Amino acid sequence: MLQVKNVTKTFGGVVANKEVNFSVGKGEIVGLIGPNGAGKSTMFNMISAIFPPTKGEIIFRDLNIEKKSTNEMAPLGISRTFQNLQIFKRMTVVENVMIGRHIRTKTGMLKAALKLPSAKDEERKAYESALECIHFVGLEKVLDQQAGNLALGDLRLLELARALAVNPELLLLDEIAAGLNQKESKDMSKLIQKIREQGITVFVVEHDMDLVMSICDKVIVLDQGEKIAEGTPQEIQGNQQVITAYLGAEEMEEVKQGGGA
Amino acid sequence: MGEFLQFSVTGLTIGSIYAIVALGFVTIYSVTKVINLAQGEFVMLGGMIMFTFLNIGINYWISFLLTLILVMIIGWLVEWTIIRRAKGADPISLIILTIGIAIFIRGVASVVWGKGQVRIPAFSSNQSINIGPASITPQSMWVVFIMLLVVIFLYILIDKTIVGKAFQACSANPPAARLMGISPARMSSFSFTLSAGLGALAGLAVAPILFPAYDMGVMLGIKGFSAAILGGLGSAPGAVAGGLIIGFLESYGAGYISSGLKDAIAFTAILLILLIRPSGILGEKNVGKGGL
Amino acid sequence: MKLPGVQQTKWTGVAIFVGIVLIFPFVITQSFLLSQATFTGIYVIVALGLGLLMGYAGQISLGQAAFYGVGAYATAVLTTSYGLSPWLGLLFSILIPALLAYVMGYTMARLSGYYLAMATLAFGIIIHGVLVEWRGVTLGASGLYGIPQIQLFGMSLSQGLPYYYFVWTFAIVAIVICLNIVHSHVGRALRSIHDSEIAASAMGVNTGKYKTQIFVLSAILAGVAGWLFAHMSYSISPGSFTLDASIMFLTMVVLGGSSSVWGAVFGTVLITVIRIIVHELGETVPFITSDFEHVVYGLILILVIVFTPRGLFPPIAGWFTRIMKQRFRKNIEQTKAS
Repeated sequence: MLQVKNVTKTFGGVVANKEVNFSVGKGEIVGLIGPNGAGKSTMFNMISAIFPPTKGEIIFRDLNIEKKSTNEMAPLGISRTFQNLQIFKRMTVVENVMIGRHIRTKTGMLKAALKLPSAKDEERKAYESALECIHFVGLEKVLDQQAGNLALGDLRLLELARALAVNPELLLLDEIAAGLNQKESKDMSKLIQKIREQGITVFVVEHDMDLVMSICDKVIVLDQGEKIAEGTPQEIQGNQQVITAYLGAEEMEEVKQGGGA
Repeated sequence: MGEFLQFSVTGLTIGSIYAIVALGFVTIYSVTKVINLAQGEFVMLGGMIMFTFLNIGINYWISFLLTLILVMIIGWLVEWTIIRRAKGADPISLIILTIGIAIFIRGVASVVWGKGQVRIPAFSSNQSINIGPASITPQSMWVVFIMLLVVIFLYILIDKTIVGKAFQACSANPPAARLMGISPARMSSFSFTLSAGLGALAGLAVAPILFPAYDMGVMLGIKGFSAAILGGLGSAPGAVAGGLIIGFLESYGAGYISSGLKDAIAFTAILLILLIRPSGILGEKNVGKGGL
Repeated sequence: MKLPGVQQTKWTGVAIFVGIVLIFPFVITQSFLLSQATFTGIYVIVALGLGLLMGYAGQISLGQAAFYGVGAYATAVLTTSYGLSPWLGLLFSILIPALLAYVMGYTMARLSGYYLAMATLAFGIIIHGVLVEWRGVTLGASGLYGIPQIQLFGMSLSQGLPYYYFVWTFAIVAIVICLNIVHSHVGRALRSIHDSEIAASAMGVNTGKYKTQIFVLSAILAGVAGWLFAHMSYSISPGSFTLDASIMFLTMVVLGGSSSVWGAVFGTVLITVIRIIVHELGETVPFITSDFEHVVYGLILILVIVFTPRGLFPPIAGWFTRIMKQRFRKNIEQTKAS
């Protein structure tokens, strides 16, 4: 479904990603992990076409996307959340999610200006689909609140609902569990699995090892911009290179206990 | 050929002024990310305050110094009383804020000095020097000379001194700079003071040529801003190049096409250049993490 | 159709406003004030477009007076020199500014806000230069005169009451159009750009397209206002379309607040009132000249940005609705008690 081929990204002289190769299959949950500065977010930003790679190809459903612009991704079926919460703060929860429906709306500026019946009809439909996504993540109690006033956990859910409203085939989750407490994180795991059951492919960048190890079918490890390992969670946990380069032996023990339980 | 040389001399002179004003924009922008559209008013104040000092009979070079200091104090005050209080405002609000400051200063100037143009004697003699078929006034040479001085001074200040290092640090990463004990607020205040000084210097240099009036800052400010954008916002060499290009465009436009349309010609050319090179002549393409 | 949690137009507000506009000439009958109120209607149309551009597209135009001027001159030239009907003139007053804005917006929308600020500044200067220098068409600095009046239902619309209602009909249509846009998915998309451009484009919002469209819309509105201005006045000259005029429009929007459509309307009305007061004071106080207006504008811009960056309308509207709600509640309690 998604193939990343020989992708390199440099910022000035700094190499953020170096000749990275991997693929994500349809219906999988794939995790991308690595220490801070490993180039995970850079990789995500290239897949969502926020900026192009310096070299290499990114192929989504037989289509090269590395040179496309950001706003072309949603219509293709790629949607994402943001690590540093790119919420529309001054809009309500439901309005935020309705932005996810934006690409399904065909009303132009002129029709909107004159408020023709077709425009009204589309608005109602967008509202209803947004409500569905809100129910799915469980934010219906706050749907008319300003997004800026929500607690962190709800903000993460809101980002998820908004990304789902796009009806994506590939969902990119950038540290969706960052800052969540254990229960919230568990709930998030369940939600992600539910999303996969709907046939949506999920690609996560995560620091929360419990989450990664418990839900991912495949894990890819980046270190200093290069891919150092790829495999099932069990394989990754046993990979010596990953342990030394990334987690440190002691931390790995904890993860094994947590993730294996 | 003689005509061309003459227009080039005019272009170089006026372009040098724009370059100094543009450097003022860059100085403030690179530290604070504020586009200070009141920059042109500092130039106007330079000319008008000089006129007042001379009028009450103070010696030329003492007036010169006093003017410079006074305008720098005004620049400092602008930052301290207004800009600092609007920190955290979005870029558009900051532009509006500086427009407000500009028209306020201009309005006050029109009340204080009236609407007439004033005359200020040149630094040295008024005797034109002939270079081949073209003639050049000593004041024009002063203007170019001062521009070069400013460039050298800024280069040394930014690249060779500790203040310059702090400047660069603030520009690159304000929170990190704060952690290193550099106060971005103080650097912001310093950048306003410095660029007010640059503006005043431009005003002092050009006053004998342009006959300043209360509204001279509008056009100079806009052209300086355009020069800074043309050069690639934030790039000092770009600002100088941008200023000179606008100066030449305007001078040739006025000479060969129509003096009434010289601004229109210059600005049309600027817009066309930006069409071809959106990031300016010496600007870097906007790379980075796309705000993430 | 009620959609809880979604910003929608409150039509009672529009109705109240229409009522005020209808009644105004019967309450205030001085012809000077009526003509000021007519001007206010024209300025409201320009300010609405600029407000959308600033508050919703997050862009700034420092050359709105140029579009206003192009609109005015397009119809003035065509009706005086070529004998076109003013109604055909309207077509050109819309098309020419729209085209200019499209070309400029298309190239500038991808760049940072500073470029549009600079480009619109430059555009204003270019247009002013052309209006003054293109004497063969515009008759230069002295201006064009002999602009015909608009015919409506066989009636000539002259200054005064007829033109007041004519202008405000356009203004109210413009307000409704802007309210509709703001409260449609287009407005929502635009608001989203303001909060996070990156997330908006990741959701498939074509930010450049909408910025350009709003810029074009703002130019069209300015053009229509220019058309109304030209046919209200017998003559026009470049002096009405300078940078100062652009800054006046900017001040109107900033003072009222660009985050809502009503902010622009409110700001325009306030600035007109301030202009009238300055004008009146100028008659008696010697140092208050026409330039004093600019000192006031400057102060307004500074104070608003520093103390209430969202403009005056949102806090005042909030305060007003609170008071009304309290009244309402008291009334209910009283009826219950009795």
